[in-house]
Amino acid sequence: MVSKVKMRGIGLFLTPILLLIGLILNLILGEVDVPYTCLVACSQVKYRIIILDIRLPSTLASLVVGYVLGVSGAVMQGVLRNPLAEPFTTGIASAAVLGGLLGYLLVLVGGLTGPYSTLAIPMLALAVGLSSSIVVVMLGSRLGVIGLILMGILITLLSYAASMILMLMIESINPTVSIQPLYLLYGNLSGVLWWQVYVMLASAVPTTLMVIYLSRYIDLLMLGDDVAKASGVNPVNVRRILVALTSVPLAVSLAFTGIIGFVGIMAPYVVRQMTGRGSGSIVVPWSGLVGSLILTYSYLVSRIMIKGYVVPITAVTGIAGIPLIMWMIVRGGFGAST
Amino acid sequence: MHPPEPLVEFKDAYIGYGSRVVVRGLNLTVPRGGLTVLLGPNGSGKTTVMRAIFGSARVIKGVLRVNGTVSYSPAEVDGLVNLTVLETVRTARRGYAWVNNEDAVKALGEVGMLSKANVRLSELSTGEKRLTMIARAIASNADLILIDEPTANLDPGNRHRVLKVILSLITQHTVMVATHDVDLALLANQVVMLRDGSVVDVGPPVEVITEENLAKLYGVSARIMRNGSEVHVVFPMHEKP
Repeated sequence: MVSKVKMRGIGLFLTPILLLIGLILNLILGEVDVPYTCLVACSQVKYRIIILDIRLPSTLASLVVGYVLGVSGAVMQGVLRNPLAEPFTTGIASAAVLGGLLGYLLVLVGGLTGPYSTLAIPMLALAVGLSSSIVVVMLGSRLGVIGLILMGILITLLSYAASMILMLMIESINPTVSIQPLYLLYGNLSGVLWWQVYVMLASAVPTTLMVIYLSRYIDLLMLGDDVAKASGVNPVNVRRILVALTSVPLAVSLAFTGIIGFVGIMAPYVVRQMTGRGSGSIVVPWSGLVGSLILTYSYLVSRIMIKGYVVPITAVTGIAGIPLIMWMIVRGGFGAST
Repeated sequence: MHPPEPLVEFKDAYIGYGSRVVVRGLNLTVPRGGLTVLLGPNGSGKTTVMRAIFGSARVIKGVLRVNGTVSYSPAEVDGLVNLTVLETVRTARRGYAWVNNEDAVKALGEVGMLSKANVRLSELSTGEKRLTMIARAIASNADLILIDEPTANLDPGNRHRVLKVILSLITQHTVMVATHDVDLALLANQVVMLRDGSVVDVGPPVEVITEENLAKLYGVSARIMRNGSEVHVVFPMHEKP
């Protein structure tokens, strides 16, 4: 059995290499296979367009969103003291879907045209997702960990109920139209545009850096609110700040790429098992990297799995998740003595 | 030259949560140095008194003055904590900064947990978890170290280890312990006996730990047996209170 220290060394070395390989494979492989020489110098316009306009922004999105999901998962698991918590525990995902449906309704009913019509869905998904997080953070934190989880459940139920009603309204207006915002439910990395990549990066970089800087507060929270308070740290405020910080890039990613499941719960577990460490200062940033790895390769698989089709990304991460959840069940390692 | 101010002063304090009073009419002064023991059955309000000191419980009426930094070591740490022993100790704060690695390692050495520095908290025995949290308190260099139920649920070996550590702590820190372990109370400078939120007695153990007080506290008859310099407290089964 390889020692944990050696594994850490290998991981440190392998991770950037694997990420680079994933990036390259995503650019070359797909419905149209691009010759790898094109990565350096490309004479054919067709290949240049495929790489630069289609595949590169989507692949970069998978790296960024994967990182955000990994970091959020690690933060939520620490803040809620629960190894099964995940980025969407606060209900932000279902709220974003509700926002997307509202945006779609606005386009249908309000007659929005031009750039407004393409922006309506993601902007409202972002707005509603973020607002729900603020509500959960402000109200739920006061009740402690259980309060946050309960608020998340409340938001999820409310959002689903409202979404059902909205879908009925949309159907009654135009029964034949296919509901566009469904991409929100299944996750969609294809079709991500360059400006969306910039917005995702702009929202992710500062917030993630701040979270990593604050990661030792997550460790302190894990020991209990009393211990934190005695050390002069206000656990309610720390939870608020951490959840709020991760909600921003999460809401942005949800708006553009939809709900991508399993990554946020898998990545921190993998990091904890492989490194043998539990501190947020290690688990948070590395969960981000593992999240990027998982999502980049999942994106690759989703595009080459069935020729001519792009499998919804959550299906791929779900398939990848099954053996991992089985490993989790067999191996345990959740901490509670059995 | 006037004597140094006490670390903690409760003056006729009523402590509780919201408007609910849990501890009534507490008068207690904790001087610098030494061991103060809060002795009483489960639910008597010992933890609430400690919580008031760091602000998790409210002083509804009366006065509480705290003149120093505090570190709290709870009776139980949540079972799902994934931190290693060293990572746990490194969550100690010194003022506005986290404790550095060197001081964390030193504290672990003092409690004899250095060999398990990279073991996860969840894989430790209860006694070792408590020792880790005590190491954390040492690392924080707090003026007052609060330890909640250090010997509860421990086998004799672990209990011995923890008691030894607490005894060595007293030489360099001010310590307050909440416990129902009478032997521990015998080692204190002052004992506060609590029952149902009321103070039964306060004072040095020699005065306070009497068969009468113990019977009042626990509702069972107690026997104090002296064997030279050794003192043993026994709660015989067959006697009626």
